[in-house]
Amino acid sequence: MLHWTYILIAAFVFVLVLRELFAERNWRTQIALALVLIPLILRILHIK
Amino acid sequence: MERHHIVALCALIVVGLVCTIAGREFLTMYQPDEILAGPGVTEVRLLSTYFGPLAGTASDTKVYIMDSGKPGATALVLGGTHPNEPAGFMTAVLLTEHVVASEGKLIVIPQACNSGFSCTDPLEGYPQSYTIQSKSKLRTFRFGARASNPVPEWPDPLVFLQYPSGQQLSGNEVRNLNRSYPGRPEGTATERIAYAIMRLIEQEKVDIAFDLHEAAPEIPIIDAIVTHEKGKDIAASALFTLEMENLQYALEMSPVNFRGLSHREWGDNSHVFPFLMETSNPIQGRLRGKTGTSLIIQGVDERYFEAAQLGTMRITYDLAGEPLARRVGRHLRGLNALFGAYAETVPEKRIVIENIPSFEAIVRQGVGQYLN
Repeated sequence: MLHWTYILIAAFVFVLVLRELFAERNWRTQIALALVLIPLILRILHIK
Repeated sequence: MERHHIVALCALIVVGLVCTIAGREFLTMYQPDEILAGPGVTEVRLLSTYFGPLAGTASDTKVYIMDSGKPGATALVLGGTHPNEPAGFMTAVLLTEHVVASEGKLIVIPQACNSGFSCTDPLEGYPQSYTIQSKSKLRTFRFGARASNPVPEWPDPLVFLQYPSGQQLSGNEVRNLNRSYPGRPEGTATERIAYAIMRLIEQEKVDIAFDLHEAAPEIPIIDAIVTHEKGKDIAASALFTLEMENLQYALEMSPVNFRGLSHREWGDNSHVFPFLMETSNPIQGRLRGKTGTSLIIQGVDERYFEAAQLGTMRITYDLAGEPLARRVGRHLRGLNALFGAYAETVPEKRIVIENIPSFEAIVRQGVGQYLN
């Protein structure tokens, strides 16, 4: 149960970062935000 | 569409590509290693035979049984308790593929912590696999992590309370099989593996059991046999035999207050004589330099040579390094000496294993010569 709670939190953070990515106007910050998405995706998909 | 939206979309495409490429690479580690059962194997089971709830999980693993059909002792050999210690794993693979029990029964679990073979430890730069030329082909084996894969078990607790002792360890040790004995049926995935192994020991009436490990060259307990107090006479007798062959092993007693380890809990919670063996593995060390597959196979690292010259290491380390063949050879010779010492101590229950290569032969010819 705790495991899936953490996965849900990761998915929620993913959505927040994704929204920021599209709202942000500075391309450098956008790249930084995109990098944050990689570990979140790999963890949500149970790959790494 | 505004410019920053186009940048965001491009960044998302790059993220998708990175995740696809990296994800495919990571997923290759979920492919099981090929272990080709040799002429001595009479039955292959799963660990879940002894504890049903393990079935279908990443923790379930193969158990190879070599039954001579003649009365004698039953021995259990565990490799891969820590999947980043390849000599323990390869010794178990070699036993599975090459040896034959002619008296008693030998049970081998090459990948005791099976889920740990599906990832590597973070920030170590470890290779994901290594290759060995066997008699028939080039064989690839995974180099795993010290503990179970964290992905299906996430999150680790901040503090791991070992069951049933209540001993406090750092949170990530919750996935360390060799801190999880005797385990419990409703526990974490790793505690369930430990519980299943305890059930195997009980149901198969195992008399003598071995847990094969490796450690960094600077760790005090290397080239050692660790024993529970009830096995100290057997271990001492084996050490004399090994010493006469000019193979030095330290005899270490299992600490009474350090709970969860195989040599402690197997001994306290069953009638088995437990032994743990360690060899020196440079790829686990903090002093190591370039971390690649050659360090696993050849075990040559100039920084360790330098450290040995400065007198900062407990073992002799020369430029020949600590090759996998020598580490596997030490495990095999140690096992055979302990089998012999056990037979002297309990003559009515012998275990005789044929085809175990000698230390000199395996050092000379390499591990692959004894793999199918």
